[in-house]
Amino acid sequence: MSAEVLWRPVRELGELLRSRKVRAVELAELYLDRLERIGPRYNAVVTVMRDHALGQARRADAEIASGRWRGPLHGIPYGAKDLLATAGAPTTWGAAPYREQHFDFDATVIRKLEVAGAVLCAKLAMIELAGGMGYRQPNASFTGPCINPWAPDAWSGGSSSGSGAAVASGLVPFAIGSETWGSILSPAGYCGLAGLRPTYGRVSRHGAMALCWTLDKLGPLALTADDCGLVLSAIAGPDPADPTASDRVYRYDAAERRSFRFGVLRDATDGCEEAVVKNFQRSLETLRTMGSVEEVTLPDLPWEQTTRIILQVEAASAFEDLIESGGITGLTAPEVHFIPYARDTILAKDYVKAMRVRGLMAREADRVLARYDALVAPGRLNEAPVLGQDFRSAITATARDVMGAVGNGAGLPAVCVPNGMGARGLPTSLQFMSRAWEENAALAAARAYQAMTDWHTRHPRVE
Amino acid sequence: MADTPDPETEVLFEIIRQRYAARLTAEQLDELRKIIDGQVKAARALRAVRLTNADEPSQRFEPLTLPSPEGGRGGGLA
Repeated sequence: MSAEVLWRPVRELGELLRSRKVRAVELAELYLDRLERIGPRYNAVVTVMRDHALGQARRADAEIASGRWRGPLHGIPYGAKDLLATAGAPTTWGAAPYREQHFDFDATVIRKLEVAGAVLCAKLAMIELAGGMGYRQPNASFTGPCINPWAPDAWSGGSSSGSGAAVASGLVPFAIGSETWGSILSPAGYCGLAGLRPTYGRVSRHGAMALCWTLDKLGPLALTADDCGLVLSAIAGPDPADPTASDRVYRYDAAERRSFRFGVLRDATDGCEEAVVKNFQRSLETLRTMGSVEEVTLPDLPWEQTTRIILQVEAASAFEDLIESGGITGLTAPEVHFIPYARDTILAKDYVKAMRVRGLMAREADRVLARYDALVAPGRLNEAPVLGQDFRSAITATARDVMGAVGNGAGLPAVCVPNGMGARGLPTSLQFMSRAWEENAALAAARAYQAMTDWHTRHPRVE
Repeated sequence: MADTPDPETEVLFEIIRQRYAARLTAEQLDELRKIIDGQVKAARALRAVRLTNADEPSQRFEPLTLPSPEGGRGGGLA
């Protein structure tokens, strides 16, 4: 059973379930066993939801047997970043001060996945408070630093750390993460996965921990871009409980496309490790066989400063009580015991200016993106950072990330997929960023790239 | 030669010192001064962007009317 299904994409597992070659209970038991047995090795799991999962799986089997097939996620196990409210299990936000926190309702994303028939198996580890307090090193969660399945001395990325490690180590076929700035693309990139950051407002944030009201997005991490599209299709849509959730209808378009127009920022590889540059150049050669690749320049705007100020101010407001009470000293990362105080000095006028510049950013970014199916760039500047060391980050202004600043500041969708291995034997990644609401363009490009490469079929040695 | 302290940074840092110094070590205060200096520089980059009067904040506020408990027309808060 294990060899038959492990590392199979969601689409294939869904077909096995629909045709009743595999039962949802068998699948849930396989992944629950792995979550309990292997999860602790990577500090990837907060709560395994065995009873809940087996109940949902039994229901899925009964429905499928009676001819009521809900769709490609019916009976598929998954894990959720532990910032999504779930009745019946703690929702810890990765932070010691909240480790006993319970909600009596499910986040909208959890409800939508239940409607799609997916089986929630675990709440997954994350950087405390989704990293919004300014952490600088991987040991920033009460569950310990999340270890990358590709190397025991490497971090899985953050802040959706467990979502990355769990999918990469075959503990769940897909997971839900969240991104304010980099928190889906980072763990997906470092763990060799596909990750999708949807357009801001595409997916309801109701029941998700608020870090930054105008930046937070929820999205999937999976083995393939196609799987990300299937999951987005289930979780997208309006929600009366979240006024920022858009009424726009999302229909995943999995049709093959043959010709693309790609843009590459002139300085896309500035600051990247040598192997990242080499792999990106090779990716561009592949993309040229799929269409055109043109160099582009963005207007000279303070992209990173704008997104950073918005993030710092909103996060400081979201956790004002914790910060002002000194409760931040209960967090794991020692640096966040004091860093958030600095945000008291950001002037209101500068935050409003950032929100005004943001409109200009969105217009300028769209002017450029309108000419292409996607802008492409390395997903990360480097291979996964080493545990126990500070890493560079655009959020702490110690690294550049123009694509991340533009994408998150303007609320644009992006997909990242693995595109090679670095000098330390860890995955590197490629990102496709499209116009707002055009996830299908980025997904089509990422799927086409994955059809021509085999990086997504490689997996770490886990057993 | 040591850098001349930025007056704006120093004024803002003083706010932090007044509010939180009792909780912080000298090293943490020094680190906060550097972080604030970075924030000041970022704010200057933002302030240098020229906008028009029509450039509104990218932020939506919707006035709302809560449903009344009796089920009639809602009355908003003052």
